[in-house]
Amino acid sequence: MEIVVKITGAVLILMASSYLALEINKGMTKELEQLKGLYNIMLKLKSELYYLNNPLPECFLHLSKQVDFPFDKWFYEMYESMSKEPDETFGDIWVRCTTNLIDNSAMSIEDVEGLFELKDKLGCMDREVQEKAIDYFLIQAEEMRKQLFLEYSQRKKVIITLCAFVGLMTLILLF
Amino acid sequence: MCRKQEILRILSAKLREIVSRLSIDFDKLSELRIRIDEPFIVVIDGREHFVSGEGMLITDKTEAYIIKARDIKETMEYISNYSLYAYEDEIKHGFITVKGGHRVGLAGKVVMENGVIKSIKHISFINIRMSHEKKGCGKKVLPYICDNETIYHTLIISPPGCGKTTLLRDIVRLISDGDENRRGVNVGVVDERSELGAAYMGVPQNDIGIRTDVLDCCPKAEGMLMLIRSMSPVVIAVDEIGKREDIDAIAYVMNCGCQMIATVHGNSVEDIKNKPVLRKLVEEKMFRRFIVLSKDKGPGNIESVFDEMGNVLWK
Repeated sequence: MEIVVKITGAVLILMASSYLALEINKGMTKELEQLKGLYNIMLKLKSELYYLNNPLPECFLHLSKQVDFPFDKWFYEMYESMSKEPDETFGDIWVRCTTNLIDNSAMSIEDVEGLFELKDKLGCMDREVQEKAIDYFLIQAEEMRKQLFLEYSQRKKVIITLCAFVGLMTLILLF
Repeated sequence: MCRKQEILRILSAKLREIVSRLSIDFDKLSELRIRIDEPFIVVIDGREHFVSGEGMLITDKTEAYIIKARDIKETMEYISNYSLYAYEDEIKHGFITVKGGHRVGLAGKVVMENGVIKSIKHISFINIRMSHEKKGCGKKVLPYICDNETIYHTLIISPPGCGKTTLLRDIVRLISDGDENRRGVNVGVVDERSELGAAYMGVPQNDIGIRTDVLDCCPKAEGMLMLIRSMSPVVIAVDEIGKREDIDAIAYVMNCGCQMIATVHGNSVEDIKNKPVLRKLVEEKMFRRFIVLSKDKGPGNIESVFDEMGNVLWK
């Protein structure tokens, strides 16, 4: 009977430590995927602005229908805030909605710092300034994604090893 | 949306607060003058007033609310729906039409490129002109323009600010809609300065009739030819003719069998005869009716109607 309990305990410990490793890795993978998604979305926004010449609220509404969570929510919130009776500047709306996006996503503020800088550039009269600001953000985002990809590849290995080690140590202690 | 709401939604938070406190008839409000570091001014019923920070009409400019750079920036954001870049073409012409047909005139530093105006930056002066639609003001002259099923080529002559655009808009509406005695006809409008239809995002904000097609922000001469080719109008209406190419296009329109209704700056038929470019219109009897407006009894006063022979039909 005792051996059965020990084996069950051992299996549970191994499962828990593996699950922990997988969850942490999943979070990191999701963060990278969302950064990639953000990059693609900003490219779409750029084309809405430059090729279709749509006003920002219209761009946000179109994009909210084309992208997945959490970006759909982000864009729809932007559209809604800009369509109601205006009581906030674009900069205020952008910062508020982008902060909400980060809260709802796996990304951190550090990952998308450049996104906040767009608050003064999007919607401005000078198209060149606007375009350059988006391009600059795209470069920053891609760099950040590459850097995180390398960092997370190593971190994932360490986490898997650590979790396996913790699991095995617990087993040794149990038996 | 009422006029008050239409105006409030494009003003900065501070100006909105001030204007919402004004106890005035918004139908009589004609202009809001917003100039950086200068007093906030409104024009009501043709009279200028300073506005205090508490939303009171005052006469002492030292007590008036002084417009801040932030007010202008914020107002511009709301006027352009947070997207100034999308209004580049309108800004080049110096104005943006907002919902309700109100016109926002802009001034600041003009940016030139190859000798042509490219844009206006550092916008520091905003003039919001309220749209005034006076339905029915054209009824008085309609019997002189339309005779049974015939519509005459008509020229409305008026000094600035006498209501020629308002009159033309109403004539267009009446001809387009028709009534129990006269069937409505297709009217093509070339609205170069977006004043007749006051289109906002392609939708005319003024009532210009059910059978009216509008070419918005299009040069008059080209627009008239485009309408003939594409929309088969019975009547073409244009505001403020004056260039040589406009006169050539009008001659082409008349030769195509379309009827022409236009407005021109001037004080009288004689005045038009003295203008080298416009003389042809009178001397060659291109137009068959001339409606002269004056400011003597306030804007919109119809002084007289003549035929092409100079006979007075109404005075």
